[in-house]
Amino acid sequence: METLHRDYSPRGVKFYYVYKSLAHPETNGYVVPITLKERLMHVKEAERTLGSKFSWLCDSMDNAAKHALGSAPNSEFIVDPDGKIVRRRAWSDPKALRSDLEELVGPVEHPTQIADLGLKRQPPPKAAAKGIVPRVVVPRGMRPLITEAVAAGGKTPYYAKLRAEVDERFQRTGQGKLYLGFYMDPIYHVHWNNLAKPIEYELELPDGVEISPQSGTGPKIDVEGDIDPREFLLDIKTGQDIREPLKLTVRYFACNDEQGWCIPVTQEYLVQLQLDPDGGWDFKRLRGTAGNRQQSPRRNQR
Amino acid sequence: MVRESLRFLAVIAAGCGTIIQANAAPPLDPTSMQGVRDNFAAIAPKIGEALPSITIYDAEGQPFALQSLKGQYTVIVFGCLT
Repeated sequence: METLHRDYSPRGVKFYYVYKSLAHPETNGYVVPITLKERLMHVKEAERTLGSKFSWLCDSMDNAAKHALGSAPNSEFIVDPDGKIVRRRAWSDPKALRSDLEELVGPVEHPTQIADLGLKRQPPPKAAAKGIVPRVVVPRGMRPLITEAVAAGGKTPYYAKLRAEVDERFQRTGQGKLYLGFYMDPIYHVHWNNLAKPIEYELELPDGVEISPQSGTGPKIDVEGDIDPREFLLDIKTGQDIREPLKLTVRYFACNDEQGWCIPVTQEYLVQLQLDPDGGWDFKRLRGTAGNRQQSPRRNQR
Repeated sequence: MVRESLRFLAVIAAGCGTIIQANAAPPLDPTSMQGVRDNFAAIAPKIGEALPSITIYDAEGQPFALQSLKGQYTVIVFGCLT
């Protein structure tokens, strides 16, 4: 894609990436932003780590551009000088795009090769150790729920972000597993303070919802700080047509070594018992193979 | 091996384009690349249509109207960090 930018920018073609909702949260540690400010921080992070020469645009937090342009994760379009769409593709294809531009704008005598670019990708930030706290093993088919950070945009960022998911059985029957994962957001360069009390959560339930346990405490970790998620797998059972959200309160201690602070944080979420179409998914939890002590069944057969 | 790789690619491709509600029949298989393609074919603007009249943001957080993309050929690619 970057070779196309180098070849066709001088010919007047403009190139934009539209930064959209995160497709696969947790990959490289990134978690779903909850404010526009945080999504714009993701844009800067993408600029930094990918080394792209494209200009970046940022979708709104209601994902207006994504929805209006086909709701595909990696689609591409060519717009002509009159503002009309002349090519569209559900999945970006640089080779086909070059062919399109050759047809629309004209061929390039010596097309740039990837090796010519000298792209320098940067690693994601890492504020502390990881791989210390064992991951929970979940059933297959975990899908995200709609969550709302009650004080999003407030003075204190949600350094640890909630990911709430339900398993396939719950989606079919209303009885199954509820996953609560709290992830330190790498864009804030923070880590858990393991010298203080472990993370605690507490749930307030609407009528017709049973969850066990309704409160919990994370593990006590021996190292001073880490960035592993704190995860809880709960039993959940609901009646029909639950419209009231769960109210979740979480308490934890966060540290930022670069800025030299450690603070106690108490934050609240509303969790809707409704799947989030824009929440993305983690491959392992979707397939029910999450947990860093477990091999996939296919591998076990070999 | 090839089948597993294809399945893995299909899961990647499915990305974040699904619309499913709890306790309802899913209209789009989240692990299916074909499902994403079919959905895109059905709901994305067609060739010859204008970009939708919506305003998003530039990288600095300033409003940016998609329909302002005129006057030259423009390539738009959707993406994210992961």
